Amino acid sequence: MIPRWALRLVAMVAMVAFGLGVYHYLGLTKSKINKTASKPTSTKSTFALAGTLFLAQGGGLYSLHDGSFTELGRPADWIQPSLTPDGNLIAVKKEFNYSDLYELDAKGNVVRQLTHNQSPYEGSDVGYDYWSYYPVVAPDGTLFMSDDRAKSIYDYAVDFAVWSFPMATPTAVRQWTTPNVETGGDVQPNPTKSGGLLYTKYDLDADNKNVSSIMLAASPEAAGKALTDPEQDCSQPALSPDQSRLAMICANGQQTQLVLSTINGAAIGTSQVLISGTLAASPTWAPDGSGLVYLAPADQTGHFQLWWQSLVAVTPSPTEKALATTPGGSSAPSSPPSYPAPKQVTHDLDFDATSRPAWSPT
Amino acid sequence: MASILILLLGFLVSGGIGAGAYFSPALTTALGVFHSGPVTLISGATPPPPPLVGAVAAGAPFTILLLGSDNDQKFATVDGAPVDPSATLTQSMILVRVQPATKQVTMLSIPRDLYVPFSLGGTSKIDEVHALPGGGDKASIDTVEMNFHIHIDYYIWIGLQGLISVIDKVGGIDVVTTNPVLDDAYPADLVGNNPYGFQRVAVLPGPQHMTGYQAMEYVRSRHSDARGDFGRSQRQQEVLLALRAKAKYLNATDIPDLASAFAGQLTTDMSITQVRELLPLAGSLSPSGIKQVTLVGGDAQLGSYTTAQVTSAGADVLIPNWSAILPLVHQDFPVA
Repeated sequence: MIPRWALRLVAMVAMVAFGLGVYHYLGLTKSKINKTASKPTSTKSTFALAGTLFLAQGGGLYSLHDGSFTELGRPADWIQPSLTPDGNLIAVKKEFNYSDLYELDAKGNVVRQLTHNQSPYEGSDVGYDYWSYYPVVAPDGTLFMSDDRAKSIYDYAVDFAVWSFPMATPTAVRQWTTPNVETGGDVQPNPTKSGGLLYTKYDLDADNKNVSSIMLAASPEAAGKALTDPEQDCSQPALSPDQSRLAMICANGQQTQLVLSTINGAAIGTSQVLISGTLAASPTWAPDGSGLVYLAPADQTGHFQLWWQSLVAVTPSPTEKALATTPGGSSAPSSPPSYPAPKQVTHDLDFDATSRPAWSPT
Repeated sequence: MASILILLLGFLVSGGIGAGAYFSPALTTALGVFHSGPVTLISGATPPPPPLVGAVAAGAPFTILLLGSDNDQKFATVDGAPVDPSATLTQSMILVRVQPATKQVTMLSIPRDLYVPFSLGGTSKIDEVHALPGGGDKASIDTVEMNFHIHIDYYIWIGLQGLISVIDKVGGIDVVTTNPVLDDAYPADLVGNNPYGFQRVAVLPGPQHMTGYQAMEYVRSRHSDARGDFGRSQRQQEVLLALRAKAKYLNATDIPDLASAFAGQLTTDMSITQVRELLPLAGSLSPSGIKQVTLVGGDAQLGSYTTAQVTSAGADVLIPNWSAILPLVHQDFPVA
């Protein structure tokens, strides 16, 4: 026979436990919107992509090879990794009032600092600091970047222009573009095989709305030719390895479209929307041109994950509708090719969507 | 039998205590924020206007004035003397018309440099009325009502830190930034020791996930923008829409976390019941049901909405062309 006092004690403990349980249960039913992202090195990709990808998350640089992530060097507000022809990396190190480009080896160790954008004057106006972003290196070793070094410190106007310098002599800087004043300027350079430059130019339209166009400049300081209509608001150009196709992001209100176009070196041909209804960003071509990766949210956290879009055409079933056409060029005379649905490569990560991944074939 | 009833009652009470403890931060904040309790969020702050409970029938359209301000104590002292800590300029004034029946919302940004007569007397930039002695939220509401000939049912004021905290509490927001936003004269009042110092801002363009601080840089930057304050107004609306998109995932059990973000950073004359009724509406709105209006450009027949001018005191202001502005405003906000 259990004494009554013992039963009362058990009941009281059970009541306290129930109260605590209610408290904790309510905590468990919270939404997952502010779930903290995992560190890439604690996860695996859902499938392996050929070669090695380089991505930025939370100030760290990571390589993704054979489904596994490796952290490169020390976290230090690194963004926008890019590859050099000899397999090193160029990345942006963002400081409080300026940013600089660094060359890193394949393990993320700093080889050298390429720009020196901190004001040399101690305690000076912050206007003496500069930004450098969007580094990309052409096969001949010329580095292109967006940089605000042409600004005047005597007024408020600050805009990016595209500049270049030979990797061997970083001081031999050359200006390629002239930005529209107080629009943000020219960003996301892509050197072409013919020695020209594709880039994004920002402007205001007739309704005083910010718009962007993909531009082509044949040479430094040459007037750029618009390849897309400003009202399509296209940016983030990415040329395929053979430079016959162009991937880009075109705005659609507070969503974006990943658009694929043919390009003949001077003009855009047929275009089709590959991805819509999401926030696709930063397309990057596979080294063999067989597809693209891009960054887009996958769940209610809004964190950007890596996605793969194969560009190996599949035969559409009779019920499949053709994808929309012509955001960037002329109408397609026939149905555009159908491609498989995109596949999510990573989960629970939080990649910097303004950092286009770099993709090495090895 | 009596023992079993007592046992059940005991479990009920302990469960209630557990739930009460969970929601107590929300309750505490609600008592401080919403009109049903004392509004003493910021010591010395101007009390909000009298509550308008019952002024808007359930399901009827209503108008909210959103006010965003510095509250970083930059103005806490002048020449060493303490001043009214509510004496802050409004960085943002957005009129919102909500039509619950049709699930449509109109957001109209009022330029901070709009040169208007104040309800308290005098004429200057509309953002200054909040900082005047006797100003605050009520004077801002009265001035907007007086100039735009509309009726405002409710107001919500939020401080800079409040917006940052709220965005962080919802885990950040996804925004498609319209262009590179570069500013070499951005106030460094939320970092460092000098509230009058400057820092540089570079918000890169395109889709991205933003923290509260990054979103603040995006909506607060106001230099090197060819569209001037209209560009900033547009960015503020984008961030509000991004917050709305995130809010649709919220559960009731998220409220205590959110409440802690609001503490001291939000005042309103809405009741907590009205806010609770608004949340499902916010989640059910489709992008096509949201209309964004800024006073940029003008009407083909009636002319530009505003004209930039420099006052005799050297201030850059926008002179309103009311014959063009009012027809635009009254398309969505009824004449009072």
